[in-house]
Amino acid sequence: MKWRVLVLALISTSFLTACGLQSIPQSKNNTEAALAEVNNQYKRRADLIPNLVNVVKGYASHEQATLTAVIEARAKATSTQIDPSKVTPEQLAQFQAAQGNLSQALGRLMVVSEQYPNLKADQNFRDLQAQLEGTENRITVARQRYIEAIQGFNNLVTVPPTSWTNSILYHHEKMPQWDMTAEEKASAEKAPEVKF
Amino acid sequence: MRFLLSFFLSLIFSLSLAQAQFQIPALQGPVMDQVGYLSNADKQELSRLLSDLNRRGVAQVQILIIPTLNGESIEQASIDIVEKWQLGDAKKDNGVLFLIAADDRKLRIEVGQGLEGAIPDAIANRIIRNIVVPYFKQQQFSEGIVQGTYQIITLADQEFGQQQGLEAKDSGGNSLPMGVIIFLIIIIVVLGRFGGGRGRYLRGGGGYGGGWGGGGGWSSGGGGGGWSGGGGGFSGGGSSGSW
Repeated sequence: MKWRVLVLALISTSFLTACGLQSIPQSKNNTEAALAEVNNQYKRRADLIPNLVNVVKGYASHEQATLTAVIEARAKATSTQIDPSKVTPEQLAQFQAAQGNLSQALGRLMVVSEQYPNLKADQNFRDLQAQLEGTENRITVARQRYIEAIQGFNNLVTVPPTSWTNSILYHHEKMPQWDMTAEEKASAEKAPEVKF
Repeated sequence: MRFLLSFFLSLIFSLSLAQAQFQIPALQGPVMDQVGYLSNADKQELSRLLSDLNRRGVAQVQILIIPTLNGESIEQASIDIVEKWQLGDAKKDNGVLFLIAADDRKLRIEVGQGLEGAIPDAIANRIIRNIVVPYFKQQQFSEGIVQGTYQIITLADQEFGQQQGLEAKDSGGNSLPMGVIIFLIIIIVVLGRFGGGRGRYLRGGGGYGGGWGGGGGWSSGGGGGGWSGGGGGFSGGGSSGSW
């Protein structure tokens, strides 16, 4: 009798762990954490920009158009926020578009700054350039991890046997995958090359 | 027969696919030089310093010199490597990868999350640009790697050494100016070369008499003293450069 209970318990726990009862909510939380990290890194980039603009302004004040474009794109990007726990495809697309515009504006600023040897020699500018470069790299890493997290979650809710648990219990929809917009793809091909 | 043929074909195909990408080597010790940039003496000295640093729980700094990135960007290769190796402690996230790709003439310092305060991107960038690259441009690869690594060690030691109350008294309460630190490091290096056992970095090497001379201690799977990652996390911090 005792023996039978033990076997039953063993089977039921192995079923519970395999059926997605735990792994679906966990995976959902993972995607939220991953998106929060993406947000965080974009915010970090936005925080860097005022300093960068100030330094560039000091050496290249008549590049007003490029500087203004960066400031405006930053304002737009910081006002477009997403809530990681309830993100819709439209919100995500808007967010991506705003951040993509900022990436482009920043890219142009970096190209322009190449033409000012004094600016390029400024230690402060070099440090900011390194920070910007590092932040862009962090954004790439965070986005990769978000994409992987979504993939894991989507697998759980669409592939049996976990998808059965989802349709009975959780009713989660498949999440929209992070996709680069057309402009972003174009700018990614000629990403701001930072040379030393 | 046909099954066998298709099996071999798919095997060959998958092999050729795998070859096109950058291959992450197995972690074999703190200093992995696949190119031969490091002199034997420097390699042994660095191995000793880095294993000591890891043993004290300050940081797990890894040097990896590879011949080529196989067309991959150094940032991507670097994050792939640290995600596989998981350098550093899981709680402290104190791993660092110093990656050098010889044919691509690129290098990167990948900094673990726990050390991003001690080695911010701008500082990692300065180490690369002001210290390592000038040596590399004169083909002094061994010296450049040694000097760059000393900088990383010093910065990491300031972060986690103090937290643990392990920071040596002689480095004072306040941070020393960079010039003094570099001067001290040079003296330590010189002493280390000529003074045999006396020139251990910061803390004297009490227990490590002659035992390290053989340099064999880090080959894979050694009892007790294996060099492996501890689950440290990376988020893409650090800096890259080229020469």
